[in-house]
Amino acid sequence: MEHSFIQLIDLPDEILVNIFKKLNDVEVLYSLMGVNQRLSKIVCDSMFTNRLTLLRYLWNGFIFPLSRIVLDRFCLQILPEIHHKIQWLNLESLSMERILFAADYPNLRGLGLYNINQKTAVHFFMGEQILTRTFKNQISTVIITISNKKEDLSAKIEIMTVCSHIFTAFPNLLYLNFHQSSDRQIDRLSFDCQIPMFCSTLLELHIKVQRFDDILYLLDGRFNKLCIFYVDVINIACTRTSLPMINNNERLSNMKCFSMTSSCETCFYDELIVPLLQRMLNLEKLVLNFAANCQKTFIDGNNLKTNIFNHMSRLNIFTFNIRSKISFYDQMNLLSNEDIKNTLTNLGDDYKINCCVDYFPKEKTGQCHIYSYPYSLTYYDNITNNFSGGLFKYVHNVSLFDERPFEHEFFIRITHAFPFLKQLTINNLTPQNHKQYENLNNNQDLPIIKYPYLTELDFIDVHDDYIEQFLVNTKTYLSNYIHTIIDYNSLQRVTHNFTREATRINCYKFSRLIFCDVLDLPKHIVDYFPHAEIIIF
Amino acid sequence: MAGHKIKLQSNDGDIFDVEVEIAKLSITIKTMLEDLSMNEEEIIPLPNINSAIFKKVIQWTTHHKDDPPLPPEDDENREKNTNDISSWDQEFLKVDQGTLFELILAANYLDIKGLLDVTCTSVANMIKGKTSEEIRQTFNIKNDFTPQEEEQIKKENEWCENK
Repeated sequence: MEHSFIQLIDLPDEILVNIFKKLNDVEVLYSLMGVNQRLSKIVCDSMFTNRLTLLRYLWNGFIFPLSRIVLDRFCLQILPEIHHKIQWLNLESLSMERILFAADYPNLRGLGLYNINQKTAVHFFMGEQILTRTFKNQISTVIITISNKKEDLSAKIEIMTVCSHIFTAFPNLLYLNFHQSSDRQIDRLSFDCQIPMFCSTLLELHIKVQRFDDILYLLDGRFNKLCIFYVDVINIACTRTSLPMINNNERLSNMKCFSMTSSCETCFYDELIVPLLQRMLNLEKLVLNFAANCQKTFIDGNNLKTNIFNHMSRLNIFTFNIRSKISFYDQMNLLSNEDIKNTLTNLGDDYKINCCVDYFPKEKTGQCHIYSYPYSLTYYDNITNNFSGGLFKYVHNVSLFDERPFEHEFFIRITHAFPFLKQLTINNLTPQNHKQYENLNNNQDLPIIKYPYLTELDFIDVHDDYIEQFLVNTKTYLSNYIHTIIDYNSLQRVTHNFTREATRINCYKFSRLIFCDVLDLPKHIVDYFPHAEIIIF
Repeated sequence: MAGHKIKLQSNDGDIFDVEVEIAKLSITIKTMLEDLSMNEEEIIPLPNINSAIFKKVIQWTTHHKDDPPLPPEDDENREKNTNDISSWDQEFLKVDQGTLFELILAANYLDIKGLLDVTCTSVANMIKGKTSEEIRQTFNIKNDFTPQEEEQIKKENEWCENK
């Protein structure tokens, strides 16, 4: 082929923009600003300068400052030149102050402060800070994630104080997203120490809290304009000591959008969740994700209509994922999947809803899972053999439970439904019925199941068959770096005292084994799990 | 219909018989065939593409004819990942800069999104991490800022260096 003489600079602006949009804004500005007049003009356009993320996300999710060279170029040359164009800055703890001092930002309206350590947050929001004074009246949007290493009460109070000071630092705040980097329960915000916190401008709040009382506290009128509220709560339970002090009866007529997510089961759906929702008369969008132990009746379509829909005449978007559990002592009048499905038609034709009803005779419990589709959560709990399939591309954390056996075919369905599965917990004490696929020759009809993204595999109360299902290499292909919590004696049996060839390949891939029930380990286990760190609780 | 061919003519006069299904990966050609009711006997001129580049375009579209449709782009949330070029495409794009830019222009004119994406990503990879001086050298770009303009920028920045 003859060589062409077209050069980068001969390409039209629209194509250059197309190329530059393949890079992030920092890469574009660092490499192209100042190259020549035309490229400088293109990269100074608002599409590359409005919103800057001046930090690095590493593959493992950690956040780091920009490299020294890139940071110097931004602080000394680029930011002073484009400062008036910047409307939003995403920053991290170590370089935050230097970047904010590098120029004035007259049009800055939003700050994303990621992985800010507690000390920096205190210094930034609670000291006599020239920075917060500079931006005092212009900032309307703040996203902040705080990393706290200490777990004591004083650290927690300090973080809550930071949260309250944000409203003083930025009195025109319209949007706040505030939470800790860690998802540990102990790190969650809890307002039991009654730190004063008010804001008469805030319209939208996203927050993670520890208890249901914290939601009531935040909705007691201290944010009187609040109309969009996203809350993730751990413990939905009555704590009668603080409830009487909180104004929890007034109607929340400003609230247009409410989202509540809780990953822990609650016994207080009727007592706490329903009364709160019924205060939100003008709600237009509702998102509910929780699990409830209801004792007698499932949360079905009739329940949602009576308790929620009938109280919100303006509701037009309802996204939900609700798992309810009942106890039963006889087999009479148990609702079927079809019965529950019929109640869901009461919610109207606008919703695509799936449901799955299961009864567990040994436990004497029943479970009803109803959810709107498409599914947007990152986890899916208590999947049974009745799982109807589908594609759940956002889910990476799954737990399986049943009193009937999980056969090989069931695990194939799981990998198809959850292609990006990272964490899997199995809970099943019933042996498999079909175990004839012991070796490769007999197993030709059944595909080996691959879990390309799986890194955590926990066996909680499982029959040995499920450990075998995952360790025998003609049944399962594991990726490297697997962590597992497992019963030592079961593992010893399945691996024939750490000598079995059929399980050796997958065991080679484990990088951490956690045992809860053993005192001494045989020396040769190290040869069988050569890459695994072994932890004994 | 699979197997049927149409005639496409490059700007240097060469005529190419191309399967309709492959040609239709180009939205420009697809629109010509459908909206302008051109029949399969007519020769469709492609005034902006020479035969050498068009051969490369046919090579790429033939290899990618069974690709699934691209997901809708979400500019706000899209992770900028410039490493996701398949090994076949990497080999295909081992060409001189001029050919690469001509491929970009051809993909843009023919409206072949997949080819435009992968060629632009390839150039983006050449830009990534380079200083402005290295960019000038790599792409043969002249610095057209006058010394006065450069001085002015330096002055404007002085206040912050002294801060």
